[in-house]
Amino acid sequence: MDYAWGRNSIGVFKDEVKKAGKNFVGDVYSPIGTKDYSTYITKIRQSGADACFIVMQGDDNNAFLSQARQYRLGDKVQLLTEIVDLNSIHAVGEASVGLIGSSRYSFTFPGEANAKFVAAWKKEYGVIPDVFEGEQWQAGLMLAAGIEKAGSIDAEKLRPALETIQIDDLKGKVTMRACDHQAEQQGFMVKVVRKDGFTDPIPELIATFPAGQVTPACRKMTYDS
Amino acid sequence: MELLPFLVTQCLNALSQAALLFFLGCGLTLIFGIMRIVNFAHGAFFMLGAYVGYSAVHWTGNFWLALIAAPILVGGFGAAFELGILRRLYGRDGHAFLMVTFGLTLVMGEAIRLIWGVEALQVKSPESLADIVFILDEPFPVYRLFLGGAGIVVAIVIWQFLERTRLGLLIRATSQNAEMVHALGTDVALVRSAVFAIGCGLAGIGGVMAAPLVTASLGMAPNAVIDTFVIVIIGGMGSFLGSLIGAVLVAFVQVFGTYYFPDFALAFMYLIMLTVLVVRPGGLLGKEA
Repeated sequence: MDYAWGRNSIGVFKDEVKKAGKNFVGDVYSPIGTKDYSTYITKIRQSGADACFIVMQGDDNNAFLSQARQYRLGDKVQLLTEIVDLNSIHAVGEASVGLIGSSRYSFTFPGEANAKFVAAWKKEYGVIPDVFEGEQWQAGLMLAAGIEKAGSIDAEKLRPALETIQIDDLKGKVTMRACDHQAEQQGFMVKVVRKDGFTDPIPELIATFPAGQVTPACRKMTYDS
Repeated sequence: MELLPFLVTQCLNALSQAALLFFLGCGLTLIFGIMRIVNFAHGAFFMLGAYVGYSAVHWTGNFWLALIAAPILVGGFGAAFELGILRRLYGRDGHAFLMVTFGLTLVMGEAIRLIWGVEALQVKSPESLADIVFILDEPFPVYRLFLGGAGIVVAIVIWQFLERTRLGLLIRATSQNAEMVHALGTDVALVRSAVFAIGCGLAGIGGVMAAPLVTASLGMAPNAVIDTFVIVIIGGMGSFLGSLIGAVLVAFVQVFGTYYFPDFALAFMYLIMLTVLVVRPGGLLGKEA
C-alpha cells in the first residue's frame, strides 16, 4: 500500500533480503482503495520472483488476496505478509491458505497462559481471539502490573513504574525498555492452513524468534545485524 | 511473459473492469438523462447489491440466484425511494437532490453496517467460474471472462431496450422533452420511477459481480461513486453510449497506465477527465457544451 506503513515495511524488508544474500527483484505500491489488482498481479508474475512480500490490510488486502487466488498467483509465488488477522481470513476464505506472515499474536501459540486466555475469550464471546485482541489483553496486563507496582494511577508515578515492567503471560516474556518505551518481546511467524474443526482457515504458528532478534535497537526503525 | 499473451490478458483484465464500471456509469447516466438529477447514492446502491448478493449466496448457496435477487431488490428499493421521497422534490433545484441522495448514502451505509456488521464478507463466485483457463499459456480466471462477457451482454440488452421497446422509446423521448411527452398523454412520473429503478438495479448487479473480486465491505460506496461520476462526466451526462465509452476508456488507460507508470495509478482517471473537459466541456457525447 502506497503510504508510510507500506513504504517503510518494504524498505526494511528490502534491506533484510539483501543482507541475507538474496536477490530483491523489485517493488510496486498500490494506492489505498485500489479495487482492481490484475495489473499488479501481472507484474508480480512477470518478475520471476520466488516470493512476494505484501504490506496490506483491510479492504485492499482482502481484494488483493481474493484476486491473487483467482489468478492462482500462490501456485507460482509464495505470498508473505506483514499481518495475518482472522478478519481478513474470514473475508477471503480459501484465498488466504498458504499465506505466511509475521504475527503479533495467534491463538495457536503454545503455553498454559495463552490456553487460559483463549478459553476465557471463547466463553465470553463465542469466537477465537484475533491478533489485536491478544495484543490488547497483553497490553492490559502490562498496564495492570504497572499500576500495582506504582500503587497508583497517577501518571507521574505510573510512568517510571512502567518503564521497567516485565510480565510473562500469553505471549511469553515481555520487557518494557526505558530508553524509548518499546516492549521487547518474541516475534512469531504463522502460516495459514485449513484445520478440522474450524470453518475458516487458521494461522498456525511455524516459528518463534527471540526478542533480541526481532526488536530494533533503541529509537531505530531498522535492524543493524 | 511474451508480448502477445501479455497484451491479450491485459486487454481482458481491462474489459472485466470496464464491465463493472459500465454497470455503475450506465445507471447513473440514464437517471441523469431523464431526471436531471445527480444520484449521489449510486455507490450505496452498488454496495447494497454486494450485501444482498452475500445474503442470497449465504442462504441459497447459489450465485446465479444472487445475480437475479440483487437487481430486483436494489431496483425495488430505488423505486420505493423515488416514489416516497424524490418525487416530492421535482421542481426544486439540483441542490435538493444532491442533499437528499447524499443523505441516503449515509443512511444506507449505517443501515448496512447495522444489518450486516462491520466485517468484510466473502461472496464466493460459483464453482463453474472459480477455475482458470489458459490463454496463450497464461492462466486467466474464468470469472473475469464472465465479467467481461456479462458487461457486453448487458450493454447490448440495454441498447436494444432503449432502441426497440416502447418504454425505451419513452425514456429517450422524456430525456429530450419531458413536457411534450407528458402533453401527449404519457405518465412521465412513471417513466421516471422506472428509470430510477433500472439505474439502481444496474448498480445492484454491479455490486454482486464486484463482490467476488473485492468482498462485500463498507468502503465500497464512496469508492464506487467517485469512479462513476468520472465515467459519466467523461462520456457526457445522460449519454448511454458515452457511459460505455467512458467505462472502456478508463479501464484500459487504468490497466495499461498502472502497468507502465505505477506511481501515477491514481492520476490516470482524472487525467482523462481533465483532457476531455478541456477539449469537450460537455463530455465526449454530451449534449450541453
